[in-house]
Amino acid sequence: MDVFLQGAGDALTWSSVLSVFGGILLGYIVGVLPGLSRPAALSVAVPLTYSMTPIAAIAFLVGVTKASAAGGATGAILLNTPGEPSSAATTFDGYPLAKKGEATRALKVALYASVFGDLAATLVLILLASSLARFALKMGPVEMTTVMIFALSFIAALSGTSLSRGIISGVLGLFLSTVGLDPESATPRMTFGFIELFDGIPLIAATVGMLAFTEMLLQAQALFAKSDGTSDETGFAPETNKRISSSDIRRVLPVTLRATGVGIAAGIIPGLGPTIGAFLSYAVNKRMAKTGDCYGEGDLKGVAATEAADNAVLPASLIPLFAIGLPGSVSAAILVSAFMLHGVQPGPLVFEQHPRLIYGIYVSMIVASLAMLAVGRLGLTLFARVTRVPARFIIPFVILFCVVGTYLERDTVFSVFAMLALGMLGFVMQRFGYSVVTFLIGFVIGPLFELSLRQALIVTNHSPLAILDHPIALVFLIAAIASLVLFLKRGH
Amino acid sequence: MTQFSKNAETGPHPWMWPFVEFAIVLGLCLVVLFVVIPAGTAESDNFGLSPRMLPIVTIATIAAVSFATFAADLLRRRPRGPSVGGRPWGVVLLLLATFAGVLSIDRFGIVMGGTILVVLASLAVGERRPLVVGGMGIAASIVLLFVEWSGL
Repeated sequence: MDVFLQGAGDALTWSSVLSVFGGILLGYIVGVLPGLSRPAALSVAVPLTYSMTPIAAIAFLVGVTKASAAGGATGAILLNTPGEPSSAATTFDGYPLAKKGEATRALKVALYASVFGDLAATLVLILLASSLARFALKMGPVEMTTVMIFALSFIAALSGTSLSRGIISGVLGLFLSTVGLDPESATPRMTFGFIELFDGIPLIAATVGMLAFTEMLLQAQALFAKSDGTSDETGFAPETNKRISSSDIRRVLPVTLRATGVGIAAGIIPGLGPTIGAFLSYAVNKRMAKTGDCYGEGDLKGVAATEAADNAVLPASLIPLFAIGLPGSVSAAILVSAFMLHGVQPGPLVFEQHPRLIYGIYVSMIVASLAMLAVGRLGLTLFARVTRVPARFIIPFVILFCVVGTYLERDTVFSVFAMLALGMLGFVMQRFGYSVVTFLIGFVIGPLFELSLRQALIVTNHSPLAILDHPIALVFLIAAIASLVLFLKRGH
Repeated sequence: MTQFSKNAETGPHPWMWPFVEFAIVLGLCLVVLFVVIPAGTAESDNFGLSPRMLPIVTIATIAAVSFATFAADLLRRRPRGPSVGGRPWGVVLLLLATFAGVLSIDRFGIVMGGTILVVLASLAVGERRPLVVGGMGIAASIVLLFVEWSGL
């Protein structure tokens, strides 16, 4: 207890608290602007911590990471431009809500769900780190393949009005995710001599192109259809209700709890990460929708489903890091370098060697969550005013963020051209009724699905019956089949 | 409100759309299956699965499902075509402005190129007031200078 109090005291010093707020502010900026990714911001921020104490340094980096996750929702809701790939799923309901005149309500739910997911995952980290890390170690390639099959089975539920077009979109996303080096033999696939494609089509180019750039093309078309180009149309209905009522909370709370659970699972299992966690949570919650829910058309539940999961991933990804020294996400891997920079080697011995620091980090994480709530609450009133700005001012800046964001990700215009091409593809797909949502699910899950499948085939010696030796995999496979059967029975 | 093309002036007859869509999707699948994948992906002699396996399976799936889509559209007995939201001039102009802006970024760097992009995009969406266009350019430069200065 004494050590805990000492650690808490370290975390509550002025320098540590100011570091948290500094990290939160930087993280919000990074989160709002597309292309300035969380790992990139962390990489830039690590050298800034050289002169800080270990606790202040980690607190600063935790602040950056947490706020970038929460800030990513702002652009997703107001501009259909996800600041982070993991916020892409927030656009599905956040942007329609903003269009309907409920931007502030959507931003509030995103913020509260983010903070809830983050705090809950932090508490799970504090209480259950070592036992959950042992579970994560049981997730081998066979289990991961079935988790991915389970996730892909949700494509049917997210297809919108046409099941077959939804499946085509999802499978097209899966196909485009195969561009790049083959994960097993490193043979180039459909790269046609472009070295830039060896790493595959950039994820940020796909999400920004398909969502934000496509939306700007649609808005430009609508602008020309309505006026001579000098109108003050905002494209958003005026806001009449900005409050979150108790009935809203009752509707959203169960979804937030489920989403937090999905986010924690996605954080604990190395390789899944926040993007898959957010998409998976959206799919799971949409599948469990009740009568009256309108996922995809602007439902607060959709925003809570993605944001709670996205923000639960980071604290949960520290569970395998602290317990067994295995980072659960890219951000957690970068945090390892920060730990080592300050003389701490993450792993099972960290609790014995640096208990004061670890408790200090725990308290700093809770402080960061509360700081995120305060900064986000102040900022959202300001951010929501974006909906009053005419579309002819918004469009050029969103296009700028789309282009600069994708350019900065790999420092090459090739990514930008990929974004533009995917934006045009998204425009055509939307006009013909093909779901961009299922496309992105296929695209996001594709690489991990293929890698796990290939590893699983090698591990099991190409024997399908070997799945009987993997009970967790069997559960996920049965869940995927049951989910599909139930969906088809309901008569989509 | 979604509208659909109604006559030959805006595209094929609505009853023709299922045929047109099916022909495009299936045609593209065949091109990818028999030209793009073989030309762009070498066979590998490693012990695992072929690098072409997943691309072929996915495209074959799309081709198969496109038959179902075609059949469903015919059975629906309701004309279905692409949603039309007005003339495409706005889209074409914005695309051209974006391409020019991207080339400017490649040529002049992120600050100058990004500013040119915003100015061109403003003009493309119909803004003609010099002060407003200039103001947007300056605002863009400030944002881009911050991005460049911060090293993000």
